[in-house]
Amino acid sequence: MEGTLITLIGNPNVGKTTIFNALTGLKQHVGNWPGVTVEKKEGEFEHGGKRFHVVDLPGVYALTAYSIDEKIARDFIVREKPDLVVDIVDASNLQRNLYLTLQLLEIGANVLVALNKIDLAEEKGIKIDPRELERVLGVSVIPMVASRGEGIKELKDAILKNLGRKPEPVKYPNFEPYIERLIRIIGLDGRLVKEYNPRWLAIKLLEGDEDAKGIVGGSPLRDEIMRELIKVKKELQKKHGDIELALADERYGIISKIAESAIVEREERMTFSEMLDEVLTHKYLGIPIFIGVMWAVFKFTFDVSAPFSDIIDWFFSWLGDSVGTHISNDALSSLLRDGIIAGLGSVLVFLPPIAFLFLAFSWLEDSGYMARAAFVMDRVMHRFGLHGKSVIPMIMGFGCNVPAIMATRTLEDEKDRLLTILVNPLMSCSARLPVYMLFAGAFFAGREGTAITSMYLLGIGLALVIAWLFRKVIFKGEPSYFIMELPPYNRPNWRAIIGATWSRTEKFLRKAGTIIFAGVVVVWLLSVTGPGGYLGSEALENGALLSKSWVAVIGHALQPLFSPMGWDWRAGVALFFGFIAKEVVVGTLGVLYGVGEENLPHVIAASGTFTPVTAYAFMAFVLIYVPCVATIGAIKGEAGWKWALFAVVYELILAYIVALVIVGIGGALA
Amino acid sequence: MKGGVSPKTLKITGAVLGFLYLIYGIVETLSWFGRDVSLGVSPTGDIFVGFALLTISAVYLTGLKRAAEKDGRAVAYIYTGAILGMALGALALLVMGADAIEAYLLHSEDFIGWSPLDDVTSYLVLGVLSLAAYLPVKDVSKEPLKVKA
Repeated sequence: MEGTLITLIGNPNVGKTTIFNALTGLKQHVGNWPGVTVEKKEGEFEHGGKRFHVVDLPGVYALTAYSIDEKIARDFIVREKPDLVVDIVDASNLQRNLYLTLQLLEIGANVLVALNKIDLAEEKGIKIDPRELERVLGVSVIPMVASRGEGIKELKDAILKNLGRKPEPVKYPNFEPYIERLIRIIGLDGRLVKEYNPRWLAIKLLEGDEDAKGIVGGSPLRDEIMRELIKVKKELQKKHGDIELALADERYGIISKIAESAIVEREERMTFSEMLDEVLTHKYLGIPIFIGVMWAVFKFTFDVSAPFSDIIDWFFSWLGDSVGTHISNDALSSLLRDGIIAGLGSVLVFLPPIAFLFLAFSWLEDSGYMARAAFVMDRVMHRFGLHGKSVIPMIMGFGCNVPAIMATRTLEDEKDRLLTILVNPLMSCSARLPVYMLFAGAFFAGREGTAITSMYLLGIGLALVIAWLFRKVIFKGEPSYFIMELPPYNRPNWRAIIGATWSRTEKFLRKAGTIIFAGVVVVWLLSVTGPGGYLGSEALENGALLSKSWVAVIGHALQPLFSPMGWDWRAGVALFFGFIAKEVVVGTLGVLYGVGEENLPHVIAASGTFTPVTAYAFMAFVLIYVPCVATIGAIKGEAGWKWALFAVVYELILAYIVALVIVGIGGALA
Repeated sequence: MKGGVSPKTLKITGAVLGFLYLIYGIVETLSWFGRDVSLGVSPTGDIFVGFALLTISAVYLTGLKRAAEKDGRAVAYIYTGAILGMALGALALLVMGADAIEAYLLHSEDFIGWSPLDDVTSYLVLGVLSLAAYLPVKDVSKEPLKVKA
């Protein structure tokens, strides 16, 4: 590791990433902490002729090592002994954040406090005197508003100035004599003193910390230290009862005094975030607002992206025509025009709505609303046997089920995790959107937003019902409760939003260029060839010829299965190939309906093979039936083959039942 | 109650916009069931428009109820109701912009004879009216609040 080592630490949502980015700019890289899947960010910067290596530690509330994040943060500070620890403190939540500051001072770290979000504190009516805070803590305090870049230069100057300092330890008046007694014995072991702060070890031993016991366990003075510890603990227990709680109380007492002197003004105000939360997380209004927001997202996705889709549609029509007129070889011309261009074109027209959907989701995430959505939906989730933490993977499933299934790792309980994995594919990922848009455009013109939103709601509803059923039958027991912190709402950071939108959209483009491309070429090949050999490109325009193709053989074999829903063999083929990736359903239909310059929705609507009811049942089937290959792979990776196969089977059965019910009810009402 | 906004303003805003959103929410819902009632603008026939308008109405009317109870938090409902209303109005403007591109730049068949007036929806009009609710409360987070104990 080159340069002076500094580390950033702070509670979650204090603006640590913003400060890390502001300090290191583009000179950063992301990896994992050894042996765990927790992200480790490192970066570099130069200031005052000195080179600094920055390590961003996970967001933690304390250093008690109860969670993996706390353990990583504590081990790094204790073992790597950074030259400076920049403790980012949220000024609008001073007291809660100071708990971590005190624990850092206990370790004996060289601490510098970055007092961030002073604007938010002022908005809340809290005015802090940084100089007074500096005086009572005994470490430098830099006031900042990192989101606006205010205080970054001052922070860099302070980092330079504070190198090599040794802050005064925090004194706990009710415990000092006991801590001193332990320090005296620990101090006799030169190796321990060299590697660890004896005061910190003494405090941790009093708290019954297992790691601290392990450290002392390797000392030749182990028996003496443990004997003294038992004596000290007995005396303290008589006086205070639970020592860990008593020490926490002592810390909070000190924090209270620090806050009292540092906060010079306090007014009761409702912040922007509090006003929005009063309504958006309201017991009764929260869920209707969430549904309304989801509808607005799909309205934006469908209606506002429409002209861009039309431009792409026009381009591919033009390209198909040009290729058709300039290449004389029938097979090659057909492969390019009817296979690659028509197939890819029919998928890529959905690039704008997918990009718009990701844009809307990225905006909601960046604004802070997604955390509220998780919060309001938690109550519902819990009622259906899902754990509160399941909400985040479920919402992520709207984007893509693969990372969503991987995100279930945050659920500690195996039953909760398996249940969340199994119902996650019912959350409608963006790959299903092209199918919904195609059929909604063809059969529900003017009400596309409603039809598409209803698919998403159907997915949520089914996920909840299936979760409830599985909880009752397979994963018996109660899910545990969870606590989450709602970050304050942010003004949209367009750079971050566009960046997130692009990285997600790029994945779709890559998929279109690989899996979907291969899928449509295979469909074309099976359409222009049959048991009798090459049928010619006319097969795509001539029903009699197409019926002699391989694709027709597959389709006719599947047709009896789908005839109760009123779907023809082409629908069966599309669903069959949709197993590769759901977008391939549209590409396959594009090839099978021989759509070149025509618009696929119009052709399907005019073909008479679907009615609005059977089309809606088809949309529902696509929503529910087997997840794509990548999702099955993710389920296998996270839960094993048994559960991956189980997911495939139950979803196929469920899709079939739901589609039949839709056709039955729709038929009865028609 | 809040320093800069009088309880009377909150009550009037909550009542006027709450009932306007309620009326248009009912009209939009009825139109989905095939009962067209036109109150200045043609209903969209989209059940979710009706649902969204009724939800915003509930937000405003909760604000009215809180204001009547002299609860300082009433302002949060008027503020959030106004933001939701304006967001929906902004969405209507974006849709109008997209349709204008279809009609005037791409000359799409489906948009022959399209006029911007075709996209004037109830939620666009109410979104503009929500601006009137937003202006008096926009700086409310910068001033002290007295919340009923």
